Amino acid sequence: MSEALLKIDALTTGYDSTMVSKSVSLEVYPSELICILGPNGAGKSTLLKTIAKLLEPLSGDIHFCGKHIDLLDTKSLSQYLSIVLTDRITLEYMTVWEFVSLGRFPYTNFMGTLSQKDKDIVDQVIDQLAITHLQSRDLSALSDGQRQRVMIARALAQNTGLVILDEPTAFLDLPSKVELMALLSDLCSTKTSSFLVSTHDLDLALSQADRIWLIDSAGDLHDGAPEDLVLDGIFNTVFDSQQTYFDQDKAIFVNSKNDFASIQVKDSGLSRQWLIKALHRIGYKATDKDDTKACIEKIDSQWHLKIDGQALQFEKIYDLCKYLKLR
Amino acid sequence: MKSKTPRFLFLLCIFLGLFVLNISLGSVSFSFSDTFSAIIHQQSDDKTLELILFSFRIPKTFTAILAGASLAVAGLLMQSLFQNPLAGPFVLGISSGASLGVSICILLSSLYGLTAFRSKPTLLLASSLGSFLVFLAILACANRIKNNTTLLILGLMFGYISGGFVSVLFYFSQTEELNTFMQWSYGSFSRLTPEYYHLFAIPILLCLFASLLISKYLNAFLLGENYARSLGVSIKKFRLIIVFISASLAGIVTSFCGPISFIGVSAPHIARYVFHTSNHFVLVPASIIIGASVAILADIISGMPGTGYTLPLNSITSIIGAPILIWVILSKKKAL
Repeated sequence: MSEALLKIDALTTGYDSTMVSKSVSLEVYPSELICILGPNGAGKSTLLKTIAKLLEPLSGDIHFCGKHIDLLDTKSLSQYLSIVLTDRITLEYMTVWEFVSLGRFPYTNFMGTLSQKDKDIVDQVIDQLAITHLQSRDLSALSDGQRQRVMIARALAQNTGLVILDEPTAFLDLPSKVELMALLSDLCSTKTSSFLVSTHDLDLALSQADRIWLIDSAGDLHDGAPEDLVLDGIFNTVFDSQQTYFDQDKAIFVNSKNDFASIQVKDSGLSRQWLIKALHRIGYKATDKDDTKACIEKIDSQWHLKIDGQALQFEKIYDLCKYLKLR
Repeated sequence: MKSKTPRFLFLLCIFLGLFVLNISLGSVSFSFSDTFSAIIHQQSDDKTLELILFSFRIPKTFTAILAGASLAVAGLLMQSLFQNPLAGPFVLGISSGASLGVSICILLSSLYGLTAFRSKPTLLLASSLGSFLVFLAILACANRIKNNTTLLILGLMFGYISGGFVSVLFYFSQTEELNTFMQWSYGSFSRLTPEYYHLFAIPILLCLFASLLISKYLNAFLLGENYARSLGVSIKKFRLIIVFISASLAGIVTSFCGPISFIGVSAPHIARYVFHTSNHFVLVPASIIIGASVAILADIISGMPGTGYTLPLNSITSIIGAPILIWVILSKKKAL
């Protein structure tokens, strides 16, 4: 096995003397996409900032490629680790290309002169992130999704083994979130860099991450493939509350209602599946058992409802649900 | 990317034009051809012209050039350090320190009847001492604090303290002493006498050169402290260097010319607007030329050519500086 990009030993993080996450020991290897999950305030950002040396650890050790973080000055560290933070950069009069080229900062002379190799790397990264059409655009004229790609491009231009991203999917619309995570996953498989990403988008993390670090509200960190954590039931212990629980079959969060009335559904296929979903939302549990009191059947694209001796017909699931709810 | 050279040449032409205008115009105006030949031959048949030109107008214009360039670069450094477009050379409280020094000095002269305390060298010493003490205080803070904003707040507080002392001075003083203070606070490029010129010019030139040398790091500061650090910039060290250079420039100019407002805030904006860049390798030299030009322009206008009157320099820099800034900001909004 290759050398660990990052090795954390009994690391405890926090501000001043307030402990946030405790005694974490982990190793990160090349080409891993690691998502850090946890409720608000669990210490995701604190952990990331401590690894990035923006915060001092309360105790414990951090090694980059075998070198202790305290022995690396800021200049050397910048060649092991790059970051994408939530800090909003308000810059005018700087093109995307110029901004990405700032990632070459640790490698240029005091005049900041870009060598041909530096320029090639910047072009290559811009191409990889599919932002070539934006490269001469001003940084202030980008959408949030484009801006996030540009931020990642700058970090990649820094050419480091480890890239830390603090909530890169926040503020993005759903398609952009999916795109961004897929992009990170792609980059992991084509590059030897590893990505350490904190996020609140659990479903995306579960589908794209190679590995998940789940921090619970007590500050303990659970490490494993997403599937490991699901099977261990960790998500339930961390996220379950009175209103929601984590469905281990479907890997989604659902409303927990316990007083479900049962109703028979005589239907099959896709329409059955969506009807059951709708019924579940309004507090009914579908069964296959014969039920003379409550039964829904689909005949000629009409929903036939028999309930408490009444027989009704509905054209749409919406109308059916509205009736059942108001009953 | 468009070449910056034509724009630099354009600015240089404006600068040279203003330079010639400033040494030709004044309470006595000379023709351009006379002025030119006098400069080229280092002498003139017209002895009045020679005297006015070489012992008054040319030194004054060079003072304006150095002062304008210093304030512009000091303002640029502060705007980049604080990532705040409103920052200027005096946000750290340097000019407040100088006013405090001068006001205490005048107050003492009024209380003890020491008219010597109101002489030019004493006032120079007082304002230098005042800005130097604030300068030391700021450096001490810059070395300790974690957050840049703290520096801004400290600067503001120095301003209040000195404002308080100035009010006390006003309360106790006679018209004459008030006049001395007001005269000082109007600012002027003609106070500097030849024997002090090296004290003024050499440190300024060194600081301007140093600003060019740290341009790469200033570019990193544009991304904010966290990103700058992740790019390998030692934040504490460079914050100290930036504050040192900026406060030195502002302090030297204030000591010798008084608190000259607005050039420092507006010149960097004009530079960004003209060159459409945030790159300090362009902005530092551009701010130097623009700051110098604006200072000369303000000097020409305050001299009120042909009238024999002289207006306070400070009011002119505000009156011409603010509209320039308004124009730059509004036309930028349009462009977006």
